Parts: sequence; structure tokens; C-alpha cells
Amino acid sequence: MRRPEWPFYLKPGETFFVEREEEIAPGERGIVLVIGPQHPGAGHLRLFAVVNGDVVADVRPDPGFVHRGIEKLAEKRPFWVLGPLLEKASIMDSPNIMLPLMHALEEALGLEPPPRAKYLRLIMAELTRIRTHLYDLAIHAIFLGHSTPFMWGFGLGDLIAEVEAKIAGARTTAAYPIPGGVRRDLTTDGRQALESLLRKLEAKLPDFYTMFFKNPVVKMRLEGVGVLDAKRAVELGAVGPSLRGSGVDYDVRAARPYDAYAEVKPEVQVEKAGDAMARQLVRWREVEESIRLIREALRSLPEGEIVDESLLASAPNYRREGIAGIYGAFVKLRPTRGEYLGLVEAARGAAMVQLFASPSPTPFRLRFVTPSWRNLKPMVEAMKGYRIADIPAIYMSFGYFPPEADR
Amino acid sequence: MTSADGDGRANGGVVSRLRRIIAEGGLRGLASLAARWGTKWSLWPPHLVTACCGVEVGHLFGPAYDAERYGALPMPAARHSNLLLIEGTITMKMAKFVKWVYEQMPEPKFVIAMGACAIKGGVFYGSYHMVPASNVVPVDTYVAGCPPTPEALLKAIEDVQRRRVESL
Ligand code: SF4
Repeated sequence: MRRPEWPFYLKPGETFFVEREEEIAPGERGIVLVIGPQHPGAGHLRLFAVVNGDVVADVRPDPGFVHRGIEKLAEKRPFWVLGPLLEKASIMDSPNIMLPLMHALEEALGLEPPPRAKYLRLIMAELTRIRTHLYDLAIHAIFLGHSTPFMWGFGLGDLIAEVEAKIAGARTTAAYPIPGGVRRDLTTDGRQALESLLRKLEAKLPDFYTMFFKNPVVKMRLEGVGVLDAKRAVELGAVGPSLRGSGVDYDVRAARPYDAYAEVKPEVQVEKAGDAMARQLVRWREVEESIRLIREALRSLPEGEIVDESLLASAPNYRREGIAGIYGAFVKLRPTRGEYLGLVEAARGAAMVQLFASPSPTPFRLRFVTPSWRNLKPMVEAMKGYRIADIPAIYMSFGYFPPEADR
Repeated sequence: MTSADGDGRANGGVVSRLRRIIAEGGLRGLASLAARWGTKWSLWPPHLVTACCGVEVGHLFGPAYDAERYGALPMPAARHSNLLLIEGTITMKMAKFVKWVYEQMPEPKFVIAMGACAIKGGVFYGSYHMVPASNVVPVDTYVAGCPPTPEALLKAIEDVQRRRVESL
């Protein structure tokens, strides 16, 4: 297949026709509609939609506008700075998207986070899961031209960002987990902020639900649109809410528990319908589930250190210098040669890191598979056969986030 | 600029200032004053999201920071806008479109380059697929951070209003 390219010899306003005209029946008129990369919404993806009248006959995606070469850059950097690099794939979901790398590195370095660190990772991961889901709902609302949920989503997201800043030190890119633990302990202040945030969220979320999911306009735009049945979703490799929205009961947190998920068990949220509404409903249920998980983790939060004992022993300056002392200890560590895997459930689905470690501080090769990339093909397939006006509704129901997909 | 403002106030407020402007530039001076004032409070960025800094731009137009107070609200079409907010990384593939969108925007137009990536590369320094913003479009104001906080962005919008629009 030829790679689609914008025909630069044409001026804006002129239309051009499908290159594969033989696929369109005689008498049928088809034009290629170029959507993006500048469009009202979370842009930077270009779609070439072949439309027949108002119906989408074929969609070809053109990703790669945010390809920044994370995998290649990782080959040149020592392992202790890889976290902040991989985190930039999905910055509002940073603890989740970093975790697979941390798991792979811990295996390679022979470190084991203490129980308290595992619980803290869970708390931050669930907190950013709520934020990412609210972000996706808010942007979806903007795609539909409904700006009140945007305001609500980002308003609540801002509260979460402030609490993140209090606990982890930054609003979005906190790089909270480190190999063998977490960067900061949960202080009494942070704990109070977290608890009052949860109370606030619980008070506000029912109104959000009524406004978005009970809204007749939203219902008409989302119900029965972009249907992907379970078999098709699995075939196309959908992950996360897009998979669970099609009725497949798969969540890495439950299927292959990591960190504290073995003790604080999540309930997998599944919807049967497989349409845009079902995917958003799964997100919504997961927000509620995450609040429950954070509560439970806070209740049973163990006492103790937040980084591995062996790291502490080799970093005598830790008590004085804080986390900087730990980084001093990393410099002396060397990974064991081998191939390591990290797999976690990020907010938009399963994220995976495959690390080929050599005994040098820089990895030999790093493979990073992100959930949005996996959801691109299902998204494009789900658009076929629906109307042009449904494209935005289907687009964001998959929570497609280009920096995450293009890496 | 602040000293000029101070002088204006010291000289007896709006009426005497207007009188002075009319005396110096006539009706044309008055019209240009009105145009500058109008531009200052209507800086519309197009919806051109280039990378992950867009997350904080969302917060900028959310209820907590509300950049609409400063007259800035994203516009769907490039032809309705005059403030290009470069949200982070510009990759080689995107650069073409950034330039294209910039050229479609009507004059006077301003550019804010946001994030460490747009300045010099940030955490992706040395990547094979990106260019600094200043190689693509003329940049008026840079905002540092990865991502910059919405406060820093508000400051940048104020900066464009003060430094660029008032001195047009
Ligand atoms: S400066 Fe940071 S947040 Fe902004 S685009 Fe670059 S990596 Fe992303």
C-alpha cells in the first residue's frame, strides 16, 4: 500500500479523488477527507477518510506526528534517567506508564521495593488513572461540542494535579516510582490532602454522571456508534477500556497482579455493548473503582522504608541527602545481562516494556509498547461504516493520545 | 512600559491621555490605539496540539486558570486566530504543518513556544526526529518547564500583551 501523503501541489479548497478508484463502484462518488493534524480536539493524528456521500467507507490513519524516538534515545541513556524519558509518553498518567520500566529494571538489578513503596505506587497509579479517565471524558465532550463536561473534567483534574504536586512534587511529570521504590514518602499533609480530595470527588462525580451520561444529546451521539464486538476487539488487539467495553474480562491488574494489587484486589469493570458509550461507561466505573482502591490502600498502608534495603545500605548519605543519595547508589549498580519484561495496566490499557539489558548502565535495546498504539487499529476499524459526524465520537471513545501512541 | 503607564496615570488619566494621542497622531493615532487595545484582549490560539504539553494547555483553559479572562480561547480554524501556542515538541513531520498553520494566520500574529522541548529539545535533546521551534517559526516568548505550569503560561500571554501588542 502506498503511504498516504498530503498532495502539496494542490491548494487548500481544491478536492482530490481517491487513488484507488477501482474500489468504488461505478456511479459512486468518493472523496478523501483529510482530518487533522490541526483540528479542534486533541489533535496530531491525521486520518484519511474515504467517504461515500456521508458514510465512511475506509479510514487510513497517518500517525507519527509526535514520534520522538524514545526507544532510540533510551539506548544512549543510563538506566536511572530512563524513567523521566518514558514518562513523557503519557504525562498525565506518568506513574502508570513508568511502572513497566521499573519492574523490568528491578528484575535486572535485583531490587525489590518494600511493601510501603508498593502501596504508595498503587495509590499514585490509581490517582492518575482517575485523572486520565477524567481527561479522556473531558476531551471527548469537547469533541462532541459539549463544553460543560470539559470544564468539570479539567476542574476536578486540577484538584488531582495539586494533590499530586503535594505528594510527588510536580503537577504532571513527577517521575514518582524509581527502581526499587518511590521517590517520596506520603506525609501527614499529603494524606490529608488525598483524603479530602477523595471526599470532594465523591461529592462531585454523581453530578458529572448526570450531566454527561444522562444527557440525551450525548446518548444519541454515543449509543450504538462505533460498535466493536468482543471477537473483533480481541482480533485487533484492543486493550484497556476499549477491550473491556466490548465485554472482554481482561485487566492486567487482576490477571497478572503486580505491586500491591495482589492484596488490594481491583474488580474488573466490563460492559457488553461495545459501542462508544460502553467504553466511556467502563472508564466511569473505573474512576469509582479507583477511589475505592485508594481508600483501601490508605487504610492498610504498611509502615517502613520507601526504598529497597540493599540500596539504602549502599547509600550512606540517604538520611542526609534524601533521594539524591539513592541516585548516587544507582551509579554503582550494573544490570545483569538478559531480557526482562514489565507489563502493567495503565489508564488506557496494557503498557509493556521489554528490556534487553547488558552489563553497562545503558540498555542494549528497549521496546516500549503503549496502549494507545494498540488501540489505533481498533479505532480505525470501528469508524468504518458510520457517518462523518461520528468520527470524533468514536475517535475519543478510544482515548487515543498521540504522544503515547507515537512514543 | 510600566513607566509609560505610570506617566499616563500621573498626567491625569484617560481623558488627557486621549487628548495627547489625538494631538500627536490625529484620528489615525486614535484608531491604532483602539486596534491595539482590541488585539490585546483577543488573542486566539488555533487548536494545534503538537505534543504532551497540551495537557497543561487544557488546564489553562479549564476553570481553575481560565485564560479566557485574558481574552484567549482556542479557535478551531487557523484563519480566525492570531496567537500560535506551540505545545511542546515539534517533530520533523509536524514542522511542515506548524509552518502551514502559521502562514494561514492573519497579521498581526504572535508565537508562544511552550516547554523545554520547544526551546531546545528538553528531555528529547538529540533525538533524530525533532526541531527547535525557532527553526520553524519566529518565536516571541518562550515558556520554560516540562510541562510549564498554567501560571507560567498565563504569564507568557501577559507578556505577549505587554511587550508585543502594546508596542505594535
Ligand atoms: S516540554 Fe515536557 S511536557 Fe512539554 S512536550 Fe516536551 S516532554 Fe512533553
